This record gives sequence, C-alpha cells and structure tokens, in this order.
Amino acid sequence: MLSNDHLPARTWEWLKVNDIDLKDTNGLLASATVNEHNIPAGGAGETPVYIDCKVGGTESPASLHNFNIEAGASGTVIQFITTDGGNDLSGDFVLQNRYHIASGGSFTLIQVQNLNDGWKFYNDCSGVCDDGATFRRIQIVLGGGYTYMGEFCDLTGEKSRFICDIGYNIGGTHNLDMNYVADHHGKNSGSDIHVSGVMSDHASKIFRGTIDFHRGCAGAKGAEIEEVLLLDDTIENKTVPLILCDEEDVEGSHGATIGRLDENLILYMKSRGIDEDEIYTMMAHARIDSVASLIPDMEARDRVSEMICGPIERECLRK
Amino acid sequence: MSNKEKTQVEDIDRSLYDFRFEDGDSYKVSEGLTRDIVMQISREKDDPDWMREFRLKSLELYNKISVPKWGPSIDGLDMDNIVTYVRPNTERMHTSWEDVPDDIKTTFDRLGIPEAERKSLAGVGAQYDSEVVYHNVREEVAAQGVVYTDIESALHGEYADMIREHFMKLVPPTDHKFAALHGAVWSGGSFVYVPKGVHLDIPLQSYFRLNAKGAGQFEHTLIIVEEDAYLHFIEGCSAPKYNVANLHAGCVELFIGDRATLRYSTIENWSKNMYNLNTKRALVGEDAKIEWVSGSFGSHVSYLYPMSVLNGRGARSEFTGVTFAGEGQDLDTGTKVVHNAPDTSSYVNTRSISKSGGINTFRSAVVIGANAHGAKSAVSCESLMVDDISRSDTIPAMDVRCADADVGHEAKIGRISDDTVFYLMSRGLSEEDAKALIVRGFADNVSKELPLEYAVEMNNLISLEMKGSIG
Repeated sequence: MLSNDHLPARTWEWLKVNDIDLKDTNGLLASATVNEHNIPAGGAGETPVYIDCKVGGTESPASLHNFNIEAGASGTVIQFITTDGGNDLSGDFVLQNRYHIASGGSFTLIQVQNLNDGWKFYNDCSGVCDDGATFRRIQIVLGGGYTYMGEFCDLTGEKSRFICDIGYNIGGTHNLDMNYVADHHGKNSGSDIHVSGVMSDHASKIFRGTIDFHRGCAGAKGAEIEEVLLLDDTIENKTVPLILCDEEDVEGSHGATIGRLDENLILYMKSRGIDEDEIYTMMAHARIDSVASLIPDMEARDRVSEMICGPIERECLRK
Repeated sequence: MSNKEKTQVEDIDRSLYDFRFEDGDSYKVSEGLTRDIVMQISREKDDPDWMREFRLKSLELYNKISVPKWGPSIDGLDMDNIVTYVRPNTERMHTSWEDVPDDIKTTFDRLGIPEAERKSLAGVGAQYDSEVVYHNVREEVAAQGVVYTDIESALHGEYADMIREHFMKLVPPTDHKFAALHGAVWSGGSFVYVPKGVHLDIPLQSYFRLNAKGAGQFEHTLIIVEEDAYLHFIEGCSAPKYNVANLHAGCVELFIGDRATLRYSTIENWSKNMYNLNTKRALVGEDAKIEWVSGSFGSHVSYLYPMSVLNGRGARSEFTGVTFAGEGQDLDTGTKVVHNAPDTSSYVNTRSISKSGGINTFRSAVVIGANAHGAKSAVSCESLMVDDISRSDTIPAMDVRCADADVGHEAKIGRISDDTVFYLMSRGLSEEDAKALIVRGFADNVSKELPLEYAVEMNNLISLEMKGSIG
C-alpha cells in the first residue's frame, strides 16, 4: 500500500494539492514481485547494481524492492524505467522501493524514467536512516502520461542525511505529481531536496516538498530548492514547499524560482549568435544535465545522454 | 550541569484591553443560529427586501458548507452558544463624541481613540459589539466628497445602489462557511467612498470593540477608492478576555480603481478566547495598488489571509505582516494573491514569532493566470522560534500557468542566531542589547510601515524583553 498520499499539512482545497489518488495501486501491489536486497556490514558496493524495469512486456505491473543496508555498508542501485515495446502500449505500473540504512551506512538510489505517454507510473520510496546513515536519491523524469513520485525519508538517527536531486523535462500532456517528505527526528539530521525542471506544451506538475522538524531533532538542518523553466502558457505548474517546525534549534529554508530565463542571459547568448529557441533548448537540456552529471556511473550517464540530447551535450556529460 | 539561560520574550501586556463593562447592552438575540434569529436581525436592521433575502440564502449556504478540513481546530467554537447580535445601550450612531453613552465612551477613551482622532486621523468610526456607535469625518475631508459612514446608513441612504452593487460581490457567501455566516448575520462596519483624484493625506480609522461575553462580531467594511485616489485606512480591534468563546467573522471588501492606491493597516489584538475567522479581499485595477500592513497579536485561533485580486494591467500588491503567537494561541495567517492581468506584481514579506507554546502558521497562495504575461511575484517569510515548546509552520503554494512570469519564494525558520549575537558583541554591544536588537529588528518590517503613533502601539504590544546569555 502506498501511504504517502497526502500533503502532510493540508491547505486550501481549491488549490487541489492536498490529496493524491493512489487507490489504484492497492490491487497492483497485491500481485507485486517482491525482491529482497541486502548489503552486508562492511560491504562497499563500488559497482552499481542495475535494475531495469521494462514496463509493458512480461514485467509484472508492480515491483517491490526491499533494501537492507547493514551498518557501515554502502551501495548504489540504478533503475531505468522504460517501455518495453511499441509506443501504443499503455497501462499502470507501480514501483516501490523500501530501505533501511543502519548506522553509518549509505545508499544511493538512481532512477531514470522514460516511459511513453500511455503509462500511469507510481514510483514510491520510503525508508529509515539510522545514526550517521545517508540516503541519496537521484531521479530523472523524461516521460510518462501520469507519473507519481513519492518519498518518505524517516531521519531517525543522529546525523542521518537525506539528499535528493530531481530533474524533469515534461511536455505534451504529461502529468507529474510529486510528494517528498524529509521527516527529521534525529539530532543534527540533515536534508537537501533540489528539484530542477522544464515544462512545455500542456504539461502539468505538482511539487510537494516537506521538511518536518519534530521535537527533539535539535541541530537539524533542512533545505529545499525548486527551479522551474516554463516554455508555454498552456502548462500548469504548482509548487508547495512546506516547513513544519516543532523544534527550536533547527534551520529550515526553501526557495523557488519559477518562470522564464533571465533576460540578461538571453541577451548575452543572443550576442553570441544563438537564437532564442536554441537558447531555451540548451538551457532545458542543461537542467537535466546538471542532475545527470551527479550519477556516479559513466554507463548510466551515457544512457541518459542518449535519451535527452545531442552530441555536444553528450560530450559535456562525459567530462 | 550548568543552567543555560535562554532568550526571554515576555507575553503581551493585555491589561489595557482586558477591562470590561458588564451587560450594558439593551438588546440581544438568543444564542445560536436559526432562521428566526436571522429574521430578527434583519428586522432590527430594517433591511431592504434584497438584503433580507440575501441573509436567508447565506444561512442556507452556511448550513450546507462544511467546516474547513485544514487549519487550526475550531472544535471549541459552538455556534449554539454564540449570540450573533448585541445592540449596545444606545439608540443610534452619534457624530459627536459627547453624545456617546458614558460606559462606551470610557471604553474608547481608554483605548485612545478620541485622542488619535484629534491628533492624526481624517475620520474615525467606532463599533461596540454589533453596532457602530460613533462616526465622524473632518469637514475638510467631507468637503472633498469623501464619504465615511456606517454601512447601514449607507444602505438606507443615497449610496444604497452602490452598496447593493458591491456588497459581498468580492467575497460571496459561497466562498466558505464563515463568509456564509457573515452574509447571514452581518451587522455594523464602515463604508468609505473616495472620489476620483482625491488624495487623503491622513488616515481614516475604524475601531472594533467586542464587549459582550459569548458574542460574535460580524462587521462589514466596504471601501471604494475611485481612479487616481489615495487612502490609508486603519483598522483596530480588541476585546476583554472571557472564559467562553467569542467569535469574529468580519468581512472586508476593497475596490481600488485604476491608478489608485489603498493602504489597509490592521493592528489586531483580540482577546485569547476569540475565534478570529475574518475575510479580507481587494480588487485592484489598472496600475493601482493595494498595500496590506497587518499585525496579528491576539485571538485564540485565527484564520486570516487578506487576498489581492490583481485585475488590471500593472496592478500591484504588497503585503507586510507580523504575527506573534504566545501561550494558548494558534494563529494561521498569511495572504493570497491572484495575478489576473499582464505586468502585475506582488510582494509578500512576513515575520512570525512563536513562544510559550504558541503556534504560528504562515499560509499563502500565489496564482499566476495564463493571461498574466510579465507578472512578477516575490514572497519572503521568516519565522522565529523562541523556545522548544512552540511551533511554527510554513505552508506556501504557487500555481503558475503562464510561461512569461517570474515567481520567487523564500522562507526561513530558525532561532536567534548565535553567530549574529557574536558578531554584534564583537562590534561592542552587550549580549542583552544584541539580542534585543535582533528581535526588535525581526518585527521591524511592519512597524516601519505604520504611522508613528501606531508603530509605538505595536511596539508596546510586542513588549519584548531580553535577558540572559546565548541559549
């Protein structure tokens, strides 16, 4: 069951951001294949583990992965979610990742999604970080008719950390629905959520990001930043960045920048002989590139660059 | 273990506001909300037919609309225990201060209203429970065509059509449950009309005092500022504290013509048994401007989000607010801005302070419509937590449907910075002075926007006292 289906603190109903309808996922999850992964204590997963989700073929409509990172261990998992077959395929797909990162452990989950427009994709993730544990999530979204992306990171441990970087480029009638929660309980815990996206055509998007400081998490710090580049007047962009604070000794911040490119930047680029459409295309790619460049695996970065850009950007990504 | 001394911020001294006169009212309806009570109020007000029908339709809506699922709990508010209309012991509104009954006059004297009128105001209105008891405007202001009167007089006089044209058009009773309640039982409030091109250099002020125990106050403020005009309107409110719930569900509708400016300042200091469920909204014309200045200090529970609808090209909105939540207070405040025309701009700057278990919520919505090309919006909110038993939440939302827009938002939450204290001490300030400076500066965004007399009042309200070393 996907439970992260609401904004942690409700606001005006007319904004239509309070709830996410995840009921359809219950039936799908009942038939999910469950995959258990364990990274033993002291283990260092230098080589990322690839989990390719080829949606629409023989793959089950739901896939569940449990990751257990033992004390001091580290691991990286890369999930490519793509359509297996023709563009006319459609359906629902649920991917649920759950993790427990024991003391001093670290876990990096990288997800690249490039489904075709016929798919409703529910991408849920939740877990617990013990003392000194770090969960890092990198996500790139390039397609999908409807995409839900959720995260509930329980920062129970002292000095536990959640670092999340999301890049998206959506157009057509894509609908992207995000709900991220950094739940601070541990002293000196930290969270950083950085979202960078591009919207065009009739795309719609909601970003909900919540930093929740519970009593007792003294010394905790949380920050979230969203930057959205809008290319058309037919888009619908909603941003709801929350800070909930029940503890005095914390630092929380959020920032959002939404709109067109800076006029000075456009002027400069034009003065270098680049026309405006090209400038916007370059900058749109740059948003995704900046997230893709965080992927610590050359093969995965190459695959992303194949999906998003031409040879120049590919060369940049390789550097 | 050594004892850490922490920064102390004292509660607001409410003694000025807590005096009261017992049961001086001459007439009140029964507790609760029924069709008969609404009809009783309507008869008492000698409503025209359309207004009576409006009240009854609003009552129907009130019964249909559910209580909000978001925001602070209002479980302690039972409408069956609220008296929705209390007429004070005076037969009519007065234009001479000497004619106001003694107990009411004493109340406003102690609140400093007549003195303020003499010193710094173009006109004053005073409401006591459900009725306006005094209204006056300076002759030279009236001579410019400015109308400042109670809304019921306007409803029955030469401005009746204007009232009908505008009344609850910006805030329809369908808006939410307490707008519907207001539509059903409203009473009192002010009507201001500033003609085209008239620039009022000194402000008008309405002061609302709720004296009766277990009562509600539902005043309606309607302000029309015509093209190229300017008005500063100040609203003040207070009540003595009772051990039962009181309710304030007022409504403010502001119509601002092209190139006009309206500054609407509020110092809200209701008592801590008050449910303050107020609705304020401005419709802003081409190149016109609304400036909200809001200080929220009182109430047990507040839902307060002045809204600006930027309807003309180049319309602007500025919202400056400070909220102080102490023991037993759950204050949910903020603002809403709708950009509904090209080249509109909005700026929101708020501060909130939570202490002694008080709960602050900053809630906002910025909506940029598809036609709002070139719109710009900047929102900045900062929250200060003074102790570890209080709470502060920030719940902003942005809905942008136009590519050619520039929307920025930033929020910060935290405590008094040790680094800043250290820096100020390195410049020669004592530790206590450094902390006092930081906290005073934190609320300075609002006090500097007020006329001097009101800034002093606000500083008295905050009454910050600093003590001790770095917490």
